[in-house]
Amino acid sequence: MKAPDTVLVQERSSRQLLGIFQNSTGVIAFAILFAIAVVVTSGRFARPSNLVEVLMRASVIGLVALGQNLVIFTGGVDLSVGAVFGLNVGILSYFAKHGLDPGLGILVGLAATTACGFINGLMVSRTKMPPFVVTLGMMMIAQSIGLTVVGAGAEDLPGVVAFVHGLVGNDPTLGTILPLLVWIVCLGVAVLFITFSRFGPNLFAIGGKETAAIYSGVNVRRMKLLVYTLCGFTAGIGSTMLCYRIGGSNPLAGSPYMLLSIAAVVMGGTSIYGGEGSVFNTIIGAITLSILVNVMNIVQINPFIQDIVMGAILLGFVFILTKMKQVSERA
Amino acid sequence: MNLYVLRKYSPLIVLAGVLLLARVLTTGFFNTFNLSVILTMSAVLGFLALGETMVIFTRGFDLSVGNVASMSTVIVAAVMLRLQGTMPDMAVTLIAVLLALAAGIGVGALNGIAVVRMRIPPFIATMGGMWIATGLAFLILRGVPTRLAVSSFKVLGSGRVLFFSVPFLTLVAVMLVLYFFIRRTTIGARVYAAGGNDYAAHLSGINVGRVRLLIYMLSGLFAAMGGLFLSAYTGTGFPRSAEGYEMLAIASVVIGGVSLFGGAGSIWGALAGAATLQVLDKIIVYRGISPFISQMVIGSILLIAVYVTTRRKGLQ
Repeated sequence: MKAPDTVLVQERSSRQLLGIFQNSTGVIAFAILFAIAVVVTSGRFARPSNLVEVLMRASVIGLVALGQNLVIFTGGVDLSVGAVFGLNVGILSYFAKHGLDPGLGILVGLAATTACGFINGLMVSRTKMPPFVVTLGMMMIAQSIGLTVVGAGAEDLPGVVAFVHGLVGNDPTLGTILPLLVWIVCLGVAVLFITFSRFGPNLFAIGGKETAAIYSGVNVRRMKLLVYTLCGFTAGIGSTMLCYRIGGSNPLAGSPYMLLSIAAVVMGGTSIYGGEGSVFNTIIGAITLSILVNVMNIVQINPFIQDIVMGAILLGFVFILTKMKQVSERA
Repeated sequence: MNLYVLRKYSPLIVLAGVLLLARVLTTGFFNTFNLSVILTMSAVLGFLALGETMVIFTRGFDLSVGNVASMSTVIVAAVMLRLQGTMPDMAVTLIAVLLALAAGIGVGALNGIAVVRMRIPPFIATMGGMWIATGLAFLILRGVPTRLAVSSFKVLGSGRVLFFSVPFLTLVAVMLVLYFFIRRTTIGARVYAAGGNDYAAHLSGINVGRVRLLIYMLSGLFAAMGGLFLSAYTGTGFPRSAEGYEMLAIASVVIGGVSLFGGAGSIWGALAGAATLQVLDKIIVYRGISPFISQMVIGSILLIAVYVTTRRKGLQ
């Protein structure tokens, strides 16, 4: 009578082992990368000011990746985050150009990005259109609006910087690490909802097997609408934080974040096919990517080669994770 | 029955619709020069859309076609720059063309291997092909727009037989060959089977993976051909010359009536779709509207077209 139990236990333990390995790929990559980073930049990387810089860049990537992660959990993908990010920059620039209130600009920007996400969500949940095509269309539309509003030139946004800094009482320390704080708060809220409400299980249920989720009484439509809307919202927050951090930008500045956000999610160990993973993992993904960009900037690698490196890393990770999943399924 | 006919000819109906729109919204749209430009650019885009059609038909997706076309313009320009004068122009051109086509097939093969063997979702896998193509293009000429050293090559872009330009005639010829290839050969039948139901195709002994790999390679080849005609038409090689064309190609395919779920569509529809987009683009130019808007228009059309085609699937 004992035999089946033993088999089960063995099976489970081998799965757990693979699971630990799967979850820690990010950590391992992270540690190796950190060591390489210090060596390659001959120590310049490890300067405190640079490490703060790395964390702040990671916060912006992480914010965008957080929304992307929720979408990927449901088995979808949002290709429009970069363009939506840029749309927010366009709106902030428009307000700065015309001398309007920057606080209002931030609100309008967030409303617009959330609206983009909402429209994505409507199209994905109410029609049979595949998510990547829906968000591809939204990407073109959002980018076009951003460029039409202010053009492709960069705009200084002292108003936004002053306004956001004013929100934390002009405290210099808080002001410097504000993007990180915002990231932590957003992550915290997401984790609370995923762990302590039905939001989490429902999310993974949809990504795992949508039909099963429907039959188990999950309101798939509403959940999808929600995650895409949230994805637009976090892209807007990330964009505002970028503008605050570097004091100005242009509508095309968002385009790398499409790739960066997907890469951060995948590097964290979340399956691109949905249904599994954790939002915590995006922390590792975002910081790893941030280190990578930072190091490539310090050693002055051609930006086009940087793109290739990023792409190769993303493909490599998807490949390794898919292979490991196949192995663990066979085990 | 009526619905069926309507469905079959919907790309042509849409094209007729935008032409009517052009007649109403603009003055002096229908002159020989403008129409010939539209036809040539539709053909360039049509090459990309043709490959994309086959990929989407077998439930794939190729985001790299625009960048492969750009890469092909750069390769042609670079080879001509390097070799011109060392051998006859004809030989230089031949080497340049063959290298560009080979590079296109190479990127297509990488895409195919990533999708078929590594099982990476097509839109991520072909993003990889996209970066590789752009990276190569920028590395080869350092991002500088370069004039084609062999000027006689431009005949390929602007030469005409009667009213029709060389790119358009070549595209029609390629489509004809492809049409008979798909309809009359076993490989063609396999493509159809793999597009319709890959599991059933697999059970019938068809190596679906190999068929899909072949199709990604063909997509790379056609994209490179599109790039060749683009460089012949503009007379330059530039890593950004076909930037964003992948979106145009996908929109053309969807307007052309190919189902995004695979298994349905024709190779002629994509050409009508490409022509529709080019006419719309010209309307925007003629009306003096900001070029940024054209992206919005294409994005909206993409969404509407996908909505209509996926709804159809729901009705069946």
